Amino acid sequence: MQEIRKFFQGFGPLNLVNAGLLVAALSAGIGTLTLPSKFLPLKLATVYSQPWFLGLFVVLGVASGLFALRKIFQLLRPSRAGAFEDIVSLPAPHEISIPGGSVAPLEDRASKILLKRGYRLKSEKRANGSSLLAEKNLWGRWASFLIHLGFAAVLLGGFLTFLFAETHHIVLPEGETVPLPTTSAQIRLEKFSIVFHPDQLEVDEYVSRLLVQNGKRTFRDDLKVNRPLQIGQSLLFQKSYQVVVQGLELFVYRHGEMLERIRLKPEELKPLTQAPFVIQVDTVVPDFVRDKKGNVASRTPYFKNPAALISLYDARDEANAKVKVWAFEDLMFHTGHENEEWAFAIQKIRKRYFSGVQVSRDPGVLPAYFGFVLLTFGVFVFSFVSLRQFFFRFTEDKTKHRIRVEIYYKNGKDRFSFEREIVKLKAELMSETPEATA
Amino acid sequence: MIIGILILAYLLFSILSFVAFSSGGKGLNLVSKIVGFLTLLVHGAWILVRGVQAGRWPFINTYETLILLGFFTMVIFFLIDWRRSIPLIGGFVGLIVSILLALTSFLPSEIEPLMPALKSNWLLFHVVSAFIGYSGLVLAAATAAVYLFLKFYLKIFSQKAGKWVERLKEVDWMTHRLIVFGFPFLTLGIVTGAIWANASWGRYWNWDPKETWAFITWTVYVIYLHLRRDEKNHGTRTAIMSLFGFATVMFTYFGVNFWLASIHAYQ
Repeated sequence: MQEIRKFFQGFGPLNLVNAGLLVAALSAGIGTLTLPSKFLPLKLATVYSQPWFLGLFVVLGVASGLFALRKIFQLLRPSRAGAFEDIVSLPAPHEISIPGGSVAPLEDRASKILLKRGYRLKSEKRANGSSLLAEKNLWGRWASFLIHLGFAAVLLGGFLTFLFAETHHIVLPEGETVPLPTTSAQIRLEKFSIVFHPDQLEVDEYVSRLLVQNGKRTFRDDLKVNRPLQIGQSLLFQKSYQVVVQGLELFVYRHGEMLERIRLKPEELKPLTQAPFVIQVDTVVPDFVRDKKGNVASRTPYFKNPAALISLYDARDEANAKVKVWAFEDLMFHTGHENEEWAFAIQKIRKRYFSGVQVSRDPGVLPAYFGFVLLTFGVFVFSFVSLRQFFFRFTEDKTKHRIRVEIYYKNGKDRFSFEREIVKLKAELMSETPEATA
Repeated sequence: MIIGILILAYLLFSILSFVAFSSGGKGLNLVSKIVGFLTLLVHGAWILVRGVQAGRWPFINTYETLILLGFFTMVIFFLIDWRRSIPLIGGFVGLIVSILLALTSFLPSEIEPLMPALKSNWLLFHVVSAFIGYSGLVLAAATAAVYLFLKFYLKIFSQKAGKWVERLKEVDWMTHRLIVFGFPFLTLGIVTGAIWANASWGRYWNWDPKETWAFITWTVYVIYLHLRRDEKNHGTRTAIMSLFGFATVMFTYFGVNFWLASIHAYQ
């Protein structure tokens, strides 16, 4: 029978919460695993949208909220007359015995020591002595309320986000106006720019210059990574971009002499006007580089060193390329190549950028942020503001002409430092009376 | 080169601390502290110079954050050592920081410019608070290891246990205080990360592996704090829990960067 009782005692509220947290942590961890699909044909990442997973967080949120509610009632409850007795019922007291006939001078000395250490005092007279309640860092009591309310608010925010948040991904082509989802506004991508760090290949910023028409208001603004743009209730985020090469302008050289200037679209076959040949741009590489094996690749996706693979066909034989050569922007390339019959230089590349923008509307943000603030504030209070409550009971022992001092404390979280504080208080209290005994 | 010197100096500090602990020599303890403190000053200067050279905050990739983690760990160690000196903890901390710095040799050390996703004021708050938190938790793991080591040592040489029983309680309490110190910074790191994610990616929580493992780490320490409320869990149980928490911290930091596909992988 006792074993059964012990078993069920193990399912106390705190242990249940710990079990719930453990299950939540394990389930969340499973979602991050990337197992080869041939071994386990399950999409583990979908765990986050499973009803049981969400249900678990709802339960944790409700439990946290209920705890916060219980705590606030405790905190706001007016202190009862017998509040001292609550403390007396706590762990066995430290005791000292000091010679003397009257409690008052000793209580005064204890009060001075405690006041010097920042304690607030409440005194109560008793039949054969007195009691002294010393308290400091009282607002440390609010920590667990703030933490649990904050956690509940964050989970509420998460729940609202899951249920009601809207996310749309739109692609804005440069120069086009598109309606903004979920609003009556329209936006036009005037220009998309990639800004580089000075003298470096790395990108400093992606910028979409937008013209926004929202009702009667028209304005221009830059959308950047980490700098969302608010339009009505929606937030716009710079998420991605795409570039499409629409055409090239090439200089065609024959025996080192410029033959003609030609405009081409990628993969378009076009006859030369000055010779019986057909030309085609097979591919365009934005940042040409050759590896050690001679393979061509693009070092970056940015047009730092663009190159185009040009194929030249005899007009009578369009099946076999007569010449296949890479063309670059650098005209100097051709000065030393007069012996080559054909050469090409890129004069201009016509590109069009498409900006990938995320449009979000999330009613969960506000409660989640509110929860973040409470949670953060709560954990800092919990960690750095340690509630201290001591209870001193002075009792006269007239037969032995001594005063017995019992020191109780209230707080189970940091017993070790309480004990240290009591040792210091005892030492100070006994310092002026060598006959005192602990 | 300088990182190599720092590794050797922290190892020396570690060895001196272990010897000071075993011999009980106060002079040797002082020498170890001086070596550790001077190394810490050079360590801090290196971070400063790196930041000046890069023209940005010097903690945008795993290489730089490892060095920052080692620095914060030593700073927090000296702060607690100032109040309560236990040379054995210094020995473990010196060893851990040496290992952290040695791990940088597997990573590229080139100074990279700031990528657009990291161009935010939240970078400072998010990274610094998360790494102060991590440092506190790393130190808590060191004190937990010391606790378990002492417990094992006392079990074998039980006749010497007397004077160490109080010390054991103190080490257990220190582990708890370090977790209680690291936990709010870990929370702040997660919260500022969520706010930053909302500004950058349009969602404050994406269940990205880094976020998920940060949540798991946070949950492990919440369970620890719940367990700690009951005095019968103090000591060995919470020390083991602290080491388990440390394992999750390390996985959140390294494992996610190297083994899981995350939008946070900036190595």
